Amino acid sequence: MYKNSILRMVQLFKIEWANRWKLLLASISVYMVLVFICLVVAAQNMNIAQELLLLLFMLGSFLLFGIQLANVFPEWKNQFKTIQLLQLPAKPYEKYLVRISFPFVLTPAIFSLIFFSIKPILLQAGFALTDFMIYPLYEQEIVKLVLTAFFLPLMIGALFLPGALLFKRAHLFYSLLLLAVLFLIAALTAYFLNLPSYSSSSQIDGTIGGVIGAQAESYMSFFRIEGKKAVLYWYGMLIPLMFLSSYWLFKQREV
Amino acid sequence: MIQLQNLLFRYHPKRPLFEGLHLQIDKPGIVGLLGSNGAGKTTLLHLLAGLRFPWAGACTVLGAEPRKRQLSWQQQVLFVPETIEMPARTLQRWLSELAPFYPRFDQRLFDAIVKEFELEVSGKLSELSFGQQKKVMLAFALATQVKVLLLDEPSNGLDIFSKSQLRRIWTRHLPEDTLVVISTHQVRELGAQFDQVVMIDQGKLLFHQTSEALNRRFYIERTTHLPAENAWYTEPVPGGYLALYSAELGDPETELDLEILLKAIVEKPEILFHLKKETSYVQE
Repeated sequence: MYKNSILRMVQLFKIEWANRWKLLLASISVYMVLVFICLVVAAQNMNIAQELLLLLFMLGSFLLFGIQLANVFPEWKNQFKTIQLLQLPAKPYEKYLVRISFPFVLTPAIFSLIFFSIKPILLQAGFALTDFMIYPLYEQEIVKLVLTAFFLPLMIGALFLPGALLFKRAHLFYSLLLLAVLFLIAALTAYFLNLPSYSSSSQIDGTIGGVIGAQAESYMSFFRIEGKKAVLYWYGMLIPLMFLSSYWLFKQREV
Repeated sequence: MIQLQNLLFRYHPKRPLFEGLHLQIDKPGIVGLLGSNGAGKTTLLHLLAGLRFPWAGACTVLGAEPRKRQLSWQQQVLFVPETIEMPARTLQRWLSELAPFYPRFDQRLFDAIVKEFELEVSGKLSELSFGQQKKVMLAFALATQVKVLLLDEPSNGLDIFSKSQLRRIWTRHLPEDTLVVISTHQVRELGAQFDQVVMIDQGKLLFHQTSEALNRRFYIERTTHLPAENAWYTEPVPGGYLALYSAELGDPETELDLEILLKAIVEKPEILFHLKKETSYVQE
């Protein structure tokens, strides 16, 4: 019998791993095959740039994270499985943490490990890749990259997490719609309340379309380098809020 | 063990399913939860299992609110739905994953029940037939020895032999301190097992009686001639009629056929007033 949280979470993790390892490893494998093909083609042209590697890495991080996030609570599609999950004798936070650890921790960890071990493996295997990278990545850069691979999906994924608890199917799509609606409401509120916009051009014509454009531009400027601190402050509040609200939704989840 | 007070639940804002529902079950045993389609039997089981939340009123099971889904509470309450979908795991693997979550789970009891069901499980559980999956699930549910077991149509999908095996298993293996609430339409097959009967309709509790009291209140007569006018309900059967009467002084005590009683209630709702009378006319 599992008497404490850690034992229960380990067991919950084992159950989840048994359910998910095929999807996780299959998606990583398929992506790595694509990466391998890209690298081999680029190597033949003596054209492997650091940018290509970074692009492949970030693309993979988001793609694999997206696949895991889309399947974070597959039970909602099936009443029996929902019942099994909800009535399993474990504390809600134990079930929740184990579940979200798959997209937010395990996937980037496994992917990073595999991705950055591809170069030595390829070299060992004797492929014509002696000039593998014109600008090789150094250890510190790799650490930065891996941290980004954890942090970026965390920031964006957190926005989609409440939807994973609210919607039974296609929650990423519905969350996106919901976020778009929220953006429109914010833009229209700004328009009707005559709030200032951090845009230089779009608001000049004063129409609703112009204001929405200005609002979008304003949000985009938020992500620029000079706004880095502000982004961190905002996400520092937003990420815990999203995680806590989705945990609350999990606790309130009905069949 | 179960207490519902002034319970309100609705799926649609303007159409409550339960409104002002009261129910109190104090003793362990087997309780039959009966009602027509759409009466709210499954929803009531969901509410008791903490899988749905009441809109208003109080719902307590084993002294705790099901909606809180506390760990110690979940270790004592188990709901088995009508439709089962076992995972693609071997029996041993599945048991090793789930059983340790239930502190009173008894492996030997599980093996005994599986043996009594004459079930041979090899390969993955998902490859078993629906009836076999249901047997595994019922065996697991009974082996957990939880204090409150909620079963939704447990005999659906089971063949005739398995249904009688299930009755035998309940008689032999059900712990004395366990309350089993069974929602079913198959009252003829399972009715004899019920210690108490709860009937709901259109969100209202029609009656809650012990089987003993029901047997005292009514008696069933099988005749070849047309039954008397004071029969609550008559039904032609091969070779004659089946009639339900209120039991009166000197009437023999018969085992009540719940299906006949349910049909009688649908045909003559005034029978419910008779059910609420305290007096019994049968000689003790």
